[in-house]
Amino acid sequence: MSIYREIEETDKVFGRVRKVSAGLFSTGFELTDFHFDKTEIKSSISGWVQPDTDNTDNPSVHIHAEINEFGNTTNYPTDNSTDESETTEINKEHWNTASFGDYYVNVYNEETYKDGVPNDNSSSQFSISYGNKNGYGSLNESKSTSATQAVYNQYKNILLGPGDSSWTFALDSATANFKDRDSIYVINFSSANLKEKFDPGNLEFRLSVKHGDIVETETFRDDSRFSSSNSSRNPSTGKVYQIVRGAIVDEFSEDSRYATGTGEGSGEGFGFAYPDLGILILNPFALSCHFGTRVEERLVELGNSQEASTKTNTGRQLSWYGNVDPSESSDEDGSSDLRYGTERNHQNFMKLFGAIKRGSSFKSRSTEYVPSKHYFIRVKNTDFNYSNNPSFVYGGKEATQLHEEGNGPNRDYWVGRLRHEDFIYDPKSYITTIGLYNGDNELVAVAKLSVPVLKSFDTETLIKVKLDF
Amino acid sequence: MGYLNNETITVHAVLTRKGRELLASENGLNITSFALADDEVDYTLYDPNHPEGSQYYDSALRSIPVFEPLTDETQCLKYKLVTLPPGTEYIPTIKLGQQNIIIDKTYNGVINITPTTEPVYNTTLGYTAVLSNRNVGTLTGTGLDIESSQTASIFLGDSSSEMATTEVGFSFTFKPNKSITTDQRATLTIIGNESGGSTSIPVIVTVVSSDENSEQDLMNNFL
Repeated sequence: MSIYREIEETDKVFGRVRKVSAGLFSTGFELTDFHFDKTEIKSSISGWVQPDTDNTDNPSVHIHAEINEFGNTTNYPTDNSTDESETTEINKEHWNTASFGDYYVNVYNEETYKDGVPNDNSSSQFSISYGNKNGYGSLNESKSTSATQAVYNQYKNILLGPGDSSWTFALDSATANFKDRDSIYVINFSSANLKEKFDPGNLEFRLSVKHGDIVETETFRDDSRFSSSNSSRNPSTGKVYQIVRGAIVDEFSEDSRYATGTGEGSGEGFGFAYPDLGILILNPFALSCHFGTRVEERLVELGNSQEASTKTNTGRQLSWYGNVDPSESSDEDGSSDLRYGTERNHQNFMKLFGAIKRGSSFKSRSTEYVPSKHYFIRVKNTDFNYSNNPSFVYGGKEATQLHEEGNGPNRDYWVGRLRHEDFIYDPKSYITTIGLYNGDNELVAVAKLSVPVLKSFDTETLIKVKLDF
Repeated sequence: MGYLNNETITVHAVLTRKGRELLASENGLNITSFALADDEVDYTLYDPNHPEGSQYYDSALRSIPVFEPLTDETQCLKYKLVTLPPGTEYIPTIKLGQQNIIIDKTYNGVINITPTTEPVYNTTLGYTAVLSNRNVGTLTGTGLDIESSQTASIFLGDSSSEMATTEVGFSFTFKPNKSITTDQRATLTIIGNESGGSTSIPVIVTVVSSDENSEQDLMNNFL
């Protein structure tokens, strides 16, 4: 008699590793809705200073940027009223009050607040950041957090090899060379969703820029299906793939590797995917060349050659160090402040957020390797056919009642007796739970069957219990 | 001729709290044996008089929904399946010399609890005793040179499992807690370590002499 059965050594299978893949986002494989939390990106070192025109003494007023759902600044001054030197001074005063919203924006699957109430279904899916080696795009003086420089350098430390100070994007076969770039966009997947890594070959995202009525959209993916990883450039980061144009299902052509168009960034690679780290690095200049050229071509088609020739459209601005959306203020001339962005924090990452939100599709799959052990539980025909379940036998009160009704010689005749006479010659038990025990008879793991499984002297059962770690 | 179903049933196991604790230690899990249970099954639903015939006797049992696994090892596998020879008429039943323990806190002696199993079992691994409320007194196991198992099933009832205490042995002694200021109640459950069967009795320790309270009154209050 026993309630335990030893597991034979040959029935224990160790060292199994199972690859588990799943959609990377809370919504599954594809994320189509993108939101950010306005309170998170409210910055003390952003905005600008204007004289107060309503006040006769004209004291300066610090205007905070107001940002719409696409990440565009909606109250950007369209006249020359901005006091640039005062803006610099004000931002220098706040240099030590930088918040994380000055460095990156979290992208959520749903609005973080609904009717003023926190939305529990909203969770961060990935972060977008912008880095600049020289600190452009953020105040870059002695009293400064140099937000963009800090971002560039922290990713450089993680992703580039020692001694390598800049991202080098491959150039097309016409030049067969490499181009160092001082600014990068970064997409960093939330580790809770990422698990171990994102699945190379199953990454696809769409970027879309809007210039007035013109909308230009492009789909990007990694090139893991068509070329081996170029991890030899920096083995410490694991595998690295190039980001190329095209959808997952598209045929591949070498042309899709590089930005085609005119101006800065032409012929450069779009960026790199680091699956093991869950990071995408994008080349702002390749994106700006690709989208800027296409917007200009459309402007020419629409008879706006003069506007096209200014090369200040939304696509071009993806590589600017400052942040402005000409679709909101079409007379923007691309001042040096915006081009070089050295007076304040411009939160450039919001430009990429807008492009992702307008693209409305980000597909990715996460992968993790789960070590597991298998135990084969062999329940032989003679084993476990009876149960200690109290309903399997007559209990004390029932025994008393049966005896009082004149059944059986005495009460004890019924106590512990099988409830069903059938079971005396053909007992049946129903397995619902399997417990795994260690040598000290301690219950260390439990498995449940989805339905009760009949066990009798006529049946044997083999159950494979999988224990994942 | 149909195909035989030769599929292996595959189930996923979850680690219990004890399992996670052991996994974090240097000893690891070291799984050596298994046990089966049917905690959710109600055998009174087995109907040998089903009008549709023998195929339907156990239809109610086979369609019982099964719970997901619990990670609290003290709440799993309460009713274990047991291997017994064919023709068995009785499941081994644990019997105690007393139907309850009701004593005054000033009682200076010890209450001896000696479980027996009919038919005779649990002669090697003995018994596990679970006292659901340690405030009632001290339970001591004797006769077995092993530490108490921390994964014995605890039948919650009205008591908190955190207040429970567990001992193993062939027999047990109980001493009331002299420092209590109000009457204390508990359930003593004895589990056969080989047979898996169990039995429970109430334990009541009173502040005033139990002579002043009738035993029946105390039992009524307990129940």
